[in-house]
Amino acid sequence: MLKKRLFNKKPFAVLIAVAIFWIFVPFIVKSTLRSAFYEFQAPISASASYVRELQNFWAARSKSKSELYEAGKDLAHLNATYELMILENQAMREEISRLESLLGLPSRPEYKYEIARVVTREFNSWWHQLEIRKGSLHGIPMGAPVVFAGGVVGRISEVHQYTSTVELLSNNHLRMAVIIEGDNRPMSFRGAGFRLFRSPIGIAQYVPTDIAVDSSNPPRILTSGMGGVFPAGLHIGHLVSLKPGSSGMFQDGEIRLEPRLSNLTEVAVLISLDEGTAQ
Amino acid sequence: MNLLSRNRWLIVAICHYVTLFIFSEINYHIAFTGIYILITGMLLTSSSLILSPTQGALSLVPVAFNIDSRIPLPFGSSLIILVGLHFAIALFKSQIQRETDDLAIVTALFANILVHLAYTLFSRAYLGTNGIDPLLISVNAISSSLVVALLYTLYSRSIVDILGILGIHVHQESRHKR
Amino acid sequence: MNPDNTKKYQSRLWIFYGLLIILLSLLYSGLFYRQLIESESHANREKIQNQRRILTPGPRGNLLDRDGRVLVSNWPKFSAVVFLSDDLVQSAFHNHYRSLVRDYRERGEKIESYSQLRVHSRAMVLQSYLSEVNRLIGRQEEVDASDISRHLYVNPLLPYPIVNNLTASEFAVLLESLPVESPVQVYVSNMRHYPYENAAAHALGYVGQSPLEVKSDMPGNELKTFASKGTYGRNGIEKQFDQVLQGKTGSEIWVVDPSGYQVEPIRQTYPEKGKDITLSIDIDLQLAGESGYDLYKDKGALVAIDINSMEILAMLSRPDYDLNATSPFISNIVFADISERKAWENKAIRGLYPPGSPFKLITAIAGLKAGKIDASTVFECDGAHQIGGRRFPCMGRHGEIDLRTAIEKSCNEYFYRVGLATGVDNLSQEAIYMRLNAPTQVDLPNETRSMLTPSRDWKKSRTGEPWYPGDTANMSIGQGALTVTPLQMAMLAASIAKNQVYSSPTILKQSATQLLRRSPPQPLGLPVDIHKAIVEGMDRVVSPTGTARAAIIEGVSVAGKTGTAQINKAEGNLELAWFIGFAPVDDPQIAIAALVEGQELNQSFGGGTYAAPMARYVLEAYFKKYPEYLDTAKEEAIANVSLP
Repeated sequence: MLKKRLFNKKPFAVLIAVAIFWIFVPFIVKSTLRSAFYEFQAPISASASYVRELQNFWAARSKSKSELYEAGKDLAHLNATYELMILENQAMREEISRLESLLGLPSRPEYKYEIARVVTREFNSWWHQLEIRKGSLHGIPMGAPVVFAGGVVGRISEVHQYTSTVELLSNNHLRMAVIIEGDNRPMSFRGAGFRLFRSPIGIAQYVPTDIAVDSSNPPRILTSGMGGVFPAGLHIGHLVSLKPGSSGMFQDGEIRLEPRLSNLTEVAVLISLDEGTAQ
Repeated sequence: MNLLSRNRWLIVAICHYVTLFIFSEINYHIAFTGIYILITGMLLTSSSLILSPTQGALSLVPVAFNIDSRIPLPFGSSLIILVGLHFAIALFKSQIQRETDDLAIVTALFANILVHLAYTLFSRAYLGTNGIDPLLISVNAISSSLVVALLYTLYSRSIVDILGILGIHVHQESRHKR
Repeated sequence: MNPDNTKKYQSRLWIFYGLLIILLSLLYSGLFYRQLIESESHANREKIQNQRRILTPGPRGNLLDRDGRVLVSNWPKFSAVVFLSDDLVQSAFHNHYRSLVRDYRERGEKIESYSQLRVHSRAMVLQSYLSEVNRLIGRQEEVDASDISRHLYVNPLLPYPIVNNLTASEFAVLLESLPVESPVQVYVSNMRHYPYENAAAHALGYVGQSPLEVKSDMPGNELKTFASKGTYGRNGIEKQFDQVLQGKTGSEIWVVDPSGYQVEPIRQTYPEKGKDITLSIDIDLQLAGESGYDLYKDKGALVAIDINSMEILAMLSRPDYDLNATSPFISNIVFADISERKAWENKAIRGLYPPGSPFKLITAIAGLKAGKIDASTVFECDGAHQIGGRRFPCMGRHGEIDLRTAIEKSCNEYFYRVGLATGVDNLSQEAIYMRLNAPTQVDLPNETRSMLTPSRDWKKSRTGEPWYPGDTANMSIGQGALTVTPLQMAMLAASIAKNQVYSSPTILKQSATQLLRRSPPQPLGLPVDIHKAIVEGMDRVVSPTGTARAAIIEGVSVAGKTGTAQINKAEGNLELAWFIGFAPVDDPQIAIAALVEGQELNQSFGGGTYAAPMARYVLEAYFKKYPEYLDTAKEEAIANVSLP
């Protein structure tokens, strides 16, 4: 009887032994094991993304000629618009650099873009991250800002050989200095997760008390550029509500992030040209 | 016991891998809803109920490492959660004996909810409470439980059948044991 | 054992049982008392041992100018702090301490003081955090081990600041570069900010730091409390309306471990900002006045008043100081500098000066009211007036001169004669009626009560001597023992402008209801035509032939009176330049008094040259802002003159 009872406790003894063993496993072993497992299964995830692209390709192939013709026409229009915008941007950039040199302003950080496809999206109740199909082999540095057409996506939190993990803006471990459009006072932004069937959200702290929210035209939140990681002026989201902050001097606010964040298929990693890496 | 039979945990682990991969694709497509299907409880229960405690634990180790390599929690968190729950279920199985098959779905659901709870506790400890939305966790736990309730029987039968094709007849072995 | 012995034994046993029962009863009744009756106090004691309260001061209310522009606000003071009770920090302290002990033992050295080693290890750990912050923001700060120990002793629950006063960009860099779980966090407290620096410094006032006031209705009053420093108004509006401006203190109750480190929060009440106050100050006018005094680095004071509401539109006192230098606290260097320059005093309400020639207006009013002169009375000015054996000089030889011209030319002899004819009693009475002998009751702290209007009785009681005609002559031209403040002189200008005696100016913007509730002014008591004669004389002062040519403003008729008063000092005379006036003449809106102190002893310092331009800066700003009060007829006349 006693023997049986002891036998019943055996799994727990094993569990405790495993836990103790695990605690004493050196960090290097754990990190090697982690990388090994990641790299081992990375091609599978990446291949899934290739398969999705193939699906899209065949879906496009199945379209009728008239649909393709219409799409081509739209594309031509878009191209023309973009060419015009490129010219305008070029002129503005030259004007800005002329003014900067006149005022003797320090040069702003320059970035190059590395476009990457999204392999997996992991937006669960606890963390929000993307896996992208570019890694250290493509020069992706740790901590680099990741953007898309709608603004900031997040930061690179892990770099593997062929893939990288992007910590999404809605992640509560991502913090940055932001500003309200037209106001240069820096505030703190921190991700605050997803709400069911709604846009991802963030929390703004240190919002000045003179800021008010007009629900029909909520203030736009942009990156401040002061923190040195994200370039200035990138779209983050809109300030939708405010409440008194704990210091009594500021307000805390809720930021509605870009809804497209949960549907991303392609992002751009900004790689600083000045330092090689964005820290 | 032949080599394949001794290493049946590997076959089960591969099944788990494939299932995880399929669900990672499903989650990719439903990410915009905010719902995330976590079927770790189903994998865990099937390992615990189909295999012996040791084999079950071995089958879960690579799965746990796979999950751990992709999440922001400390490496080994899933290992502790899965192996811990596995032994709890193994103990439960040893106490209940015959009725486990009838209680399998309930066990899987229970395990799945415990997995949610465990991840929530780990996230609270390592990532902070800022982004944790109890409503979202509850909805995700319910959605995942629904999926587990629908798929568990099919999944565990498939594993038993795959093992059977490879000459490992789990049910016969357990009858012999009794 | 025989039965007797057994009986004896049993009786002893009963005694033992009895004692046992008594002891147990005592024990249980004690236990009962402690558990049931004293349970609440035990729970309270436990609570007191396990919980701590942290109080955070609420930000003060803002001070706004009459148009709602912020004159005083709160600025966030960002710091990089370490919560010393954080688990991570505690374990870092402990690990470092253990490694230090191990090192000592390995080296075979004796540890002199374990507590000192602990202090050292804490400093080392914090320095390592600080080095990382230094690297990120490019500073070279160092921690002070004794300061950490002091902080742990006094305020263990409050965060320990390792870098103070972060700039906006440093704040941004730390936010983005420090991990969320880092032991170093960005922390915000508040400090007073004065966007206009030294403008209206004395009127606005400054704040000092003080222990936070704990109100009895706050939760957790029985708990041991740690409080950040609060503020209190030390001068000016900040002092006068301290109760209104004070924010509501926030409170947090934390469960703490036996070492006093915080474990988890139980209750939190956010601090709330105090009420904003809208002042009557118009910052445009204030800055215009400041710019005038800046130009020549003058000392003195200026007050401008809205005549209709008795609101103070501008109030400056020089020398002054940058209010931002007083925030968040006044350093010893700043204090010494301000003290050395004698810049603490608000001369507009505390500076006592002889009024000089502007007092001649009171002499004239007293003479008119006493019937000793009328608007057409003419006296002969031959450059001096002989009273007894003493000769009282005039600034010029004006010949036959009437009241209007006497005001225009500021003829001393005319007013000696008026004063002597009117008599000291009437003069004193009129000055008292015009409220020159009492504080104005302005809503600012520390207004002087020492202003003086001399009289026969005053002189008798003060010196034991009788009042001489010479004293009357001196008083007639605003000299002698007479002393007033610049604010009183501005009130005098307002009173003459409206032929009414005004009292109680205010520095708060008045609502329509408040204006209606104000007590009505008393009549000055001059018939309209006589009042007009005085005003005409003042109007001529600010004309090309008058003494205040420097106060002429295009398009506006300004009435004024200049003056030069003297303060006799042992080492020489210090001259004071005065200008008082109002505008427009026909419909007075603004009254002003400007005083400029002579920069050197025995330097000639005429009111027309030095004080009138200061007033002009303010008046120009006023009429630029309110062009509807411009005198269109005069404007047209000027326009016509300027045409070729």
